[in-house]
Amino acid sequence: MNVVRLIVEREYRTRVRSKGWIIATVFGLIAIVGLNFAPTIAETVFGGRQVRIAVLDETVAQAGATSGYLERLQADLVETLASGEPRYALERASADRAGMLAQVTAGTVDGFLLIYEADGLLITEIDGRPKFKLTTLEALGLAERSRLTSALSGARTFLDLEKRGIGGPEALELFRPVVLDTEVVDIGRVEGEQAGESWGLTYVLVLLFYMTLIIYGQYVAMGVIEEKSTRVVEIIVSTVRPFQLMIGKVLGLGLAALTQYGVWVAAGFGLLAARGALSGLQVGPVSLKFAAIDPWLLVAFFGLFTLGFFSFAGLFAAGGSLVSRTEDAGQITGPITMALVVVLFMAIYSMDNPESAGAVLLSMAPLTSPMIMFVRIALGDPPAWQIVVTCVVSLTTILALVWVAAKVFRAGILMYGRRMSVRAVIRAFR
Amino acid sequence: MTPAESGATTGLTLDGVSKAFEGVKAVSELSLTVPEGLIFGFLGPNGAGKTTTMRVILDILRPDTGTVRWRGRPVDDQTRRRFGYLPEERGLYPKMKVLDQLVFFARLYGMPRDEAAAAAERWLERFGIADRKDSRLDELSRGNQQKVQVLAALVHDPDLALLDEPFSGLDPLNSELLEAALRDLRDRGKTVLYSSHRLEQVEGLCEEVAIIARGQLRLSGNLEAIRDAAARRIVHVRTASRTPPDIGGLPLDPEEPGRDYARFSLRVGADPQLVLQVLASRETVEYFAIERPSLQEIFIEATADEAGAADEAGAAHKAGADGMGNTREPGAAGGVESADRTGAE
Repeated sequence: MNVVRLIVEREYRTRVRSKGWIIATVFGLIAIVGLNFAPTIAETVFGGRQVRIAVLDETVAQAGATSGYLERLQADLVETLASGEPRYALERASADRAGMLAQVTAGTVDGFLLIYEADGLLITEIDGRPKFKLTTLEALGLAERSRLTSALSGARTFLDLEKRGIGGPEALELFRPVVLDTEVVDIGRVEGEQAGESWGLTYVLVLLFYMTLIIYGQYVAMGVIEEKSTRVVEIIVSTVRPFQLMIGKVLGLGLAALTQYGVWVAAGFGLLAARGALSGLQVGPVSLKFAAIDPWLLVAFFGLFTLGFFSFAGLFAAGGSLVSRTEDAGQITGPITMALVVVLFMAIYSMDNPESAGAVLLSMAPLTSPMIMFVRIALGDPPAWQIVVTCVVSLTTILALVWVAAKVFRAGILMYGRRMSVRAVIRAFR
Repeated sequence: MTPAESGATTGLTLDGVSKAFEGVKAVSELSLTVPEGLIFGFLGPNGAGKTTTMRVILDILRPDTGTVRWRGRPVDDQTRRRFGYLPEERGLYPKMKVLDQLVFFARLYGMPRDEAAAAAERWLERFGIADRKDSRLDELSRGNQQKVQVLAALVHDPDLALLDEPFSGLDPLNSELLEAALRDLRDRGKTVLYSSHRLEQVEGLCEEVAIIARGQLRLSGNLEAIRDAAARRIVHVRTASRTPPDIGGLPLDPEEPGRDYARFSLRVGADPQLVLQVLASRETVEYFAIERPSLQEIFIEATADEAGAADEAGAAHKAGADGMGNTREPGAAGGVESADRTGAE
């Protein structure tokens, strides 16, 4: 029976069965589901109501005639509610100003939009363009107000153009947004719209990378400290070599962490798929098209993610070896977390110029290499040999850190309750 | 058997083992042989170096000098897996279930999974905590935790069990269970080395003992032989009048009396038969016995110099270990002596 496997198994099982782990996993799932449905829920709770607006157009003299505003607005405001019915219901006003005011007060409509000729000659109204006024019983939300404003601007521009003889499809053509195609010559493939998307995706994945390390690094450090704080260590080291113990700890705790993570990621993507949102998801200014991701990029991500994860796990294990009480964990996880923030910044800077000398160097340096090599694979074009170097450097780093952790751990075994002095640490390596 | 026979190819042999902490010797030039197939009592005052010695045997601490051999070969990873260890600092995984825990340790010591599970169940049954096997360790009472800890050292049926004060914290009933378990191991040819301060119990349980003080061996060997070899004899006398006898002119020194008899130690070289004749000539003697000293008395005699200056090395080590930062008595005799010895090597 392989001792390392036995330790991995114990660490993994104990963790995965612990209440803390299960509760964290469930809360994580709830958070993911919550975030996924948050927009819908927010809409239902805060604004899921249809807004009925009557349009009173005083710019047309006789009844029945139209200046085109109502039709333009109807064509533009096509959003629907979660229930499927249109968000904005626009209708022609059935009465004059006084009558409409009464209707608003009575709640027959939510508001009435008055389109009227300017009385005083403001500069902007010189060419006889109308003014707009919305009367409602309750104040409109900011989002609705700006949506109406933009719809009205669009309508006015469209109608203005029509007046000048540019109408119909020709006018619509003027509204079409510009598409900037980009081509990166040394890669030799036209990326077009994809370039922006891979930038966004890389950004999200790098952040994910960083957050995982922050969350689970603590986990590994605590697991190592546990050996000493529970004083089980004397029995363990009388049968197992410290290096085997450390490898087992790091792997077991790492796998438990990745399992939890896997559950969350799977749930997240599952929900996105269920909503049919895999083809395009807007996260703030970044649009993500998961379905369009290069599978090779995902392979690179998971490979480098694993290497990076275990590199830092090794570092956290070495840190954990320095102290023997759970209360002292913060003293060592703090500095390592700071180091992680630095790596994150380096990765984000590298995204702007993935083939810069700095990025190339960092993509092959211990600890920074996995995250920055991922940035380069995603956005740059590193030669294969450099990727190999990254993997070799990372694996060496992991083994070296675990070895260091084992040495320090071995030297500090009987120092119950104490933190190791610098002298004791140095002595451990003699 | 004596340490001189350190070439023995059976049992555990320590040869010239020394271990110092920050210049203070916890164990010094300790040579010891523990024959196989018996229960060996490892005795000494607090801080004599018993725990340090056990840690050296298990390679938790590296000795500064000396070797530890099992069956004639240096102890390595492989042989250590045939040892069982109950450390002085108790500790298991608090969040792990009792049965899982024992199975884990048994497997760590190299037992296959099925055997480990069966053995763990058997031991739990034997110690009356089978009904708690699915409880987490930290849900158990202290006494039961103590039992689990002992079982973790025995579950894999070790060739050599090193138990650091296994009886501390056990009630008389559980002590009885453990004693029986240790006898069982011995009867199956296994070796048990344990430290204890309950000397009457050691007398009943151990075939051989070693007494150490200040890191040095004071006495070791077969318990009966040690008692026989002790020069001192104790005389028990009960007179018909139940009053202490007149010992004027006899080579006797008064000792703490027994329940209904007087006790005297016989001066070295004196003939007890002569003493009896004199006593009987003075008054009616109902009861007269010549006793060997008890282990308790041998222990106190062997460690007599410890009474005041106490356990220098051990105290210094512990002060370091628990971080209490206890300062040592300046210029205490033990410290100076140890330092001299260090210098002499």
